[in-house]
Amino acid sequence: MKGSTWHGVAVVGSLLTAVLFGILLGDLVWQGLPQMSLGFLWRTPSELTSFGGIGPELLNTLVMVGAASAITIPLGLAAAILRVEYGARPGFLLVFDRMRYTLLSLPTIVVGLMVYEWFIVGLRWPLSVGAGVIALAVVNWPFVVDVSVAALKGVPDSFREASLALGGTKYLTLLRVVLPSALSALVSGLGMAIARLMGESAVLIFTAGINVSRHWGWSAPGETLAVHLWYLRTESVAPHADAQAAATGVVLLLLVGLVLYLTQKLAHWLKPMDA
Amino acid sequence: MTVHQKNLRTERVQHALFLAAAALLIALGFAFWGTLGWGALRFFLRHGLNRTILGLRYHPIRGQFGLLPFIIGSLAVTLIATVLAYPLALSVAITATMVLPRRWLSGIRQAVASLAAIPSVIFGWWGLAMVVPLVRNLGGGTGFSVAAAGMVLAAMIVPTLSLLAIHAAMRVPERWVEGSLALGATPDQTLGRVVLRSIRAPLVEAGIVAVGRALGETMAVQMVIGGQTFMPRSVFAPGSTLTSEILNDIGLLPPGALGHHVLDVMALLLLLAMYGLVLLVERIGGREVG
Amino acid sequence: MFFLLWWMAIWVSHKGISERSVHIAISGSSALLPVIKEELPAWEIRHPEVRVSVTGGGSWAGLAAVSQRRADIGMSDIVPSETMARGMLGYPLGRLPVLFIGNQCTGVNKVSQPQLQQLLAGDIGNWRQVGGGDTSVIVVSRPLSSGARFMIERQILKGRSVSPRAIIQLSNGALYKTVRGTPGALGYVEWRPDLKGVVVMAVGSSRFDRTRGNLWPYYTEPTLYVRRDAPAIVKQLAADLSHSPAKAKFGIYPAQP
Repeated sequence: MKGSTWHGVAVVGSLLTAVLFGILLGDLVWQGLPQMSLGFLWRTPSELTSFGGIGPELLNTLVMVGAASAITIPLGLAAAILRVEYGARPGFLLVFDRMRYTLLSLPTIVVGLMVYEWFIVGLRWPLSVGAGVIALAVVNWPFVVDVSVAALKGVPDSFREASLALGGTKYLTLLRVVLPSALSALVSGLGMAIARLMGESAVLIFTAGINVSRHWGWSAPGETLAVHLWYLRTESVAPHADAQAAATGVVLLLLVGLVLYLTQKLAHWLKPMDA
Repeated sequence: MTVHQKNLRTERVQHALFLAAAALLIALGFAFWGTLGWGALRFFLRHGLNRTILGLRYHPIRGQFGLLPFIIGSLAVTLIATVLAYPLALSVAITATMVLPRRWLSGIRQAVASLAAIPSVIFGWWGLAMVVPLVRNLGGGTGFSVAAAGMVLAAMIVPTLSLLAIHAAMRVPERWVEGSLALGATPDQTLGRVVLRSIRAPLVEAGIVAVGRALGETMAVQMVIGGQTFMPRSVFAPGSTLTSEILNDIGLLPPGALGHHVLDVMALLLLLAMYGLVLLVERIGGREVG
Repeated sequence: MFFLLWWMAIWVSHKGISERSVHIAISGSSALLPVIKEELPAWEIRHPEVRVSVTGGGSWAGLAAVSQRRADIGMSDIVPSETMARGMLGYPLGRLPVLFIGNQCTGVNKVSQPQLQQLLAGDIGNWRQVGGGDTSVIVVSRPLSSGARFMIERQILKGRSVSPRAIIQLSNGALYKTVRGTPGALGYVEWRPDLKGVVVMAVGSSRFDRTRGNLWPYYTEPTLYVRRDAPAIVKQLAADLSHSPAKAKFGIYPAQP
């Protein structure tokens, strides 16, 4: 069409972006392929042979992200409910919003430094799964608040007004009207938050350590997939360490993709018919 | 107790719990400010404010703590990343909302959202495998450079930025576009004077969010920037950012070591920068606050 | 209901953190990470009540962490200062050769010691000046915390600093991989089993031979440091690790031939 040069430019730009990410992901899969096997998923890492795996790292990733989410989802949702449903004095809300936006954009290495100073140095916790969970929770909390606020704000005020007019208290309105209507958006938002958490690494290097123990425990060191990828790419002397790094990356991506896929599916299924 | 009274009591208890959660978040924020502020204050009392912020030489073992190279490094990397990523993200948003059929939009949004969840170490891995050699061929030198870090970050923030731009573009009512075209404006004129102009504020806000992400990224940058503590002399020279230097030096300057608090100073600078960005967004009015 | 879940999570993690088990934290030189990581699993099987965590950070970090009681075992290539050493016991592993490696395209496989000094200090900017191809010299170095860098600056550079234009890589392995992939790169690594695709430089009349590593004049003496008042189990771990049979596979040879 005449006069639509910029649309053409935009299409070229989009294609460029698509190619960029295609190359990125394709290269990762291509390099990781030789190391991919089922055994790779459950074997323990090895420095001298190419038969190492990522079993403990996989477990740590799942457990730590799960535990951190179990802490932050209720806390984040509660804070978001106060922000959207209850409100408070304007000064309080202003401080609250500024804090949560600041925490949301705070570099994770700063969170790592703080958790390191507070827990590892201050409370003398070992570098452990537990300390890693705390660190992940601090990273994740503002994110959960953010997606929860967005989900709750998506519920039309007329729903609340109807419930209140029928004599429901605020809490009942919340429980029976607002949360069910927001559930779909909430699930998809939380899926994003959890997926993002799985790839965290800067916050964990000095709080959860870069090795795994033979005995799993909350106080055992907890290297995750993302940290292991970093270790493999930099220090490991194992044969095919680079291919293992790529394979670890593929597994990590698959995990992230799976979380996103499942939460999106669930969100779709939960979506109210009329919306 | 009647049902109503019971409900009222539940109401109060729940309200208190929600309030407690929000207060706890605020307390966490203040704990960051407090710890970093206190550490930085102690550092400044000992080493001086100007000598730290404006100092050029960084050699903690010799007691030199000039942070200017890292501040410049952070700013340069962020600038490169944003300048490279913005046109791409805008292209994706325009293509997704105005060129491709509308029924593809939700699929595209989901795909872009998935890309936004790619862990940063994977971008670092990609940076080592492809961007560093590319920059070496382009600009000579080693490839480990401020430019490489900027390019890796650009790729990293494109999905986030695209997603925000798509959200913004979706706010433009289709009637406006149709109206503009019906009045005889070309698609280019419609794009520039109707669509982009009407979503200027959210686009700027998206840019600020992207700047925040680029400024705060650690791992991907650390893997490709080269880690040099001297002031980078060009974009193709190795450098450091505030974040990558914190990662480098947590080991060298553990708590209790002389100069440990320089880490607090670096972290405080980042915290201040993020707070500044939050205030900026507030000023622009893209977000409602209070 | 949310809060029930939340409290359960807190409770479980609290139970977990305070469970009765021994924690040992190891920190320090990244060159020793692979040895330690290889040896630990077997040791942990023999000591099921102990959990051992490992972090890098460099030799300085290891020493500092031990002297400040934040780690139990410090991996270090640097001999601690006298005041620091007073409270510590050292468990030497042996000697670990430090090699000078160049990227394959430099065209140089032999340098004299003064040349090496000038190369590392950044005085020589092109490989042509030492008989190689026309390629810029790119020095790759470790951060200040590194024990290998400490050794290099003392023995080769005689107190000068590594070139201000050097690229800094956080760990021994990252440095090796950078030299391998960067044309014109020169760096120094503590020996590792996967050294392939780089040129190991002969220095003066010394040529590194894997089977006679003890003749190579540049080495560090990696040592595990523990505090004198550390629990017996920590000392035992340090002793067991320092006698690890696997260490030969990582290039560590005994100090006395």
